[in-house]
Amino acid sequence: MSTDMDTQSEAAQLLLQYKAPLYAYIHASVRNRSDADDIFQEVSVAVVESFSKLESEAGFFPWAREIAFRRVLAFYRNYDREKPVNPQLIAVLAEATERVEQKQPVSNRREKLLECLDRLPEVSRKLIARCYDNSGQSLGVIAAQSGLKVTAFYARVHRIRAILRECIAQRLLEDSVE
Amino acid sequence: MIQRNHSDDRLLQQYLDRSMSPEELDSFEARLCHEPELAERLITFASDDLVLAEWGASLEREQQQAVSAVSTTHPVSGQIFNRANRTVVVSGMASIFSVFLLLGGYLLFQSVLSSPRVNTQERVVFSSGEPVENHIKQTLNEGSAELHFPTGAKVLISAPASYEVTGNNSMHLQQGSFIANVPSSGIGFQVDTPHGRVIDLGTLFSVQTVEKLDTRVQVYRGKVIASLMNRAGGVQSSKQLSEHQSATINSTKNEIEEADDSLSLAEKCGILHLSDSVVLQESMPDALATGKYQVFEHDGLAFVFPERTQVSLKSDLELVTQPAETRSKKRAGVITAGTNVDCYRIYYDPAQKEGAYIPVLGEIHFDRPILGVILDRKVLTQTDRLFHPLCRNDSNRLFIHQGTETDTGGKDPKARYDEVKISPDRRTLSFMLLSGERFVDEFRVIVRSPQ
Repeated sequence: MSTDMDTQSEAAQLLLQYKAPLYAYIHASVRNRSDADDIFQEVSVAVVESFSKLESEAGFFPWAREIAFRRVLAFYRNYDREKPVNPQLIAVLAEATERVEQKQPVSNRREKLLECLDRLPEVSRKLIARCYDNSGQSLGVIAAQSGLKVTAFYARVHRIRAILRECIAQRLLEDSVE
Repeated sequence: MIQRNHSDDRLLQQYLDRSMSPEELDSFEARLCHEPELAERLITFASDDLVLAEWGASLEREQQQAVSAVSTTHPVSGQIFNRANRTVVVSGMASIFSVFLLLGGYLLFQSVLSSPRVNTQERVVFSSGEPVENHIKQTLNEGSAELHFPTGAKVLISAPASYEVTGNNSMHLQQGSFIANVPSSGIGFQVDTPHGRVIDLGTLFSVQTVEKLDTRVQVYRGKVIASLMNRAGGVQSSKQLSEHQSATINSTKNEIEEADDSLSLAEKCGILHLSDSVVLQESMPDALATGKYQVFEHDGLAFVFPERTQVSLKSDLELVTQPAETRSKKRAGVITAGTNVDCYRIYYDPAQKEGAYIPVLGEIHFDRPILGVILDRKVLTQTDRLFHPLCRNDSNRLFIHQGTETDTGGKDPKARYDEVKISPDRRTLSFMLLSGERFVDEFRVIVRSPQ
């Protein structure tokens, strides 16, 4: 492992490299982007601070994922949530994240998803963009603003997401055949 | 053929969207615990959500850039409009705005088609769009420069400064100061100085470097890690700084010193408390002081700058002493000649949403009585000779101000966009400023000087 020289830079670079799977795990665990942002920041601090303890760069992701696991549990412990979290679920998701990253790095899927977004009809692309425009508005509010009934809006968004997933799967399959 | 369980897909998305009933949630979480493949698909869905969120945010930025790029060719571009003229401006712009939207949409469509990348820019650029070459020393002798990094980090550098961009998320500051706003997409933003290194962890912070002395880091939001570097370029020691903390990296003493935090700075400025939505800056950047604006742009975050202190009034000063009142006679008051006063500027310039008005609610608690506020743009200009820091040596300099929209004299209460109040004990100033991407709200607060 490296000496102290540029240790923090390395930690920051590895964090950027594995941001997607780490964030996906946190997001799947807390299901709120704002909370996920906060926890990811805490994980980043912990990773940079204790990076020198890591023996091998190859072990970065499982190590950082373990930190994220503990931070997610701490998040649920520290806040008075309506429903206590099932630690087994958080652990199961952590293991699932590692398997997903081993099978197919999230970065590959990300690339395909962006390609598939390009292929969407413009109307669909605008609708999905509206759902993810950082306004923090719920789908119900966006549906109301779009003049659609909530159920119809959900159905449409669900259909677009399904098309995107099919497209990603198809492209990943094509890559594996090639 | 790709086989998928669409029913599970719907459940997975509902789970992430938090739109399940409690019973459905219990049942689905039990399945997640016992069906590894389902858990893996949830991670995949969550990862897709992140990509879509970044893509959505980048589209929004592109739209704003496309619209503003087109609008710079129009004669009225570059101006900050007075909101008193907004109705006229909005109606006058309505027809051409639709053209902008069409053209903006076209540019967006083209750029989305041409590149699958989330980031719209692949290199560091100035706020004007002009690219900045990596590893080329830049010298800023006057004014300020704003750098936009591809990761979303924005850095406002104040002259005099010497710096260079060293990568898509890093820079070297040899001399000078800046304030950086780094969103979560820019986590890891790195600044090297002659004395140390600062690694950002998603925050708003400032760095001030005096080449032959030290580097001072101050954190307003979030966290950074400040490091002292040894002669070989390695990290010697580090310190994590959180909100409201500051430190000095002193390579002569070979240590990172706890500096006066921003609260102590506030106390030096006679401010006992600031709400979270208000950031105190020691000095006003030139771009703002000279009325160019378009700096310190932050949604929901106002800045307060001390302008001048111990100003001895040679004549009576008319201003607003009861800003919560609607009738002009009740609002107005006078500070008598001979009084010594300190002046502060409150400044709010949101940036993100074209066409939207974003409020900021702030509160500042002073340790001395607030004598009044100057809210009107004309009165701001008239009082520049007394309070503007750049008028200290040349009292005839003229600056453009925007003011606020609180002082309508009660004629049209609906036109009151902004609210400013002074508490009955006259120690607490509270405000609600409503502004938009192309507008600025600013006003002066006059406080009695310490004896």
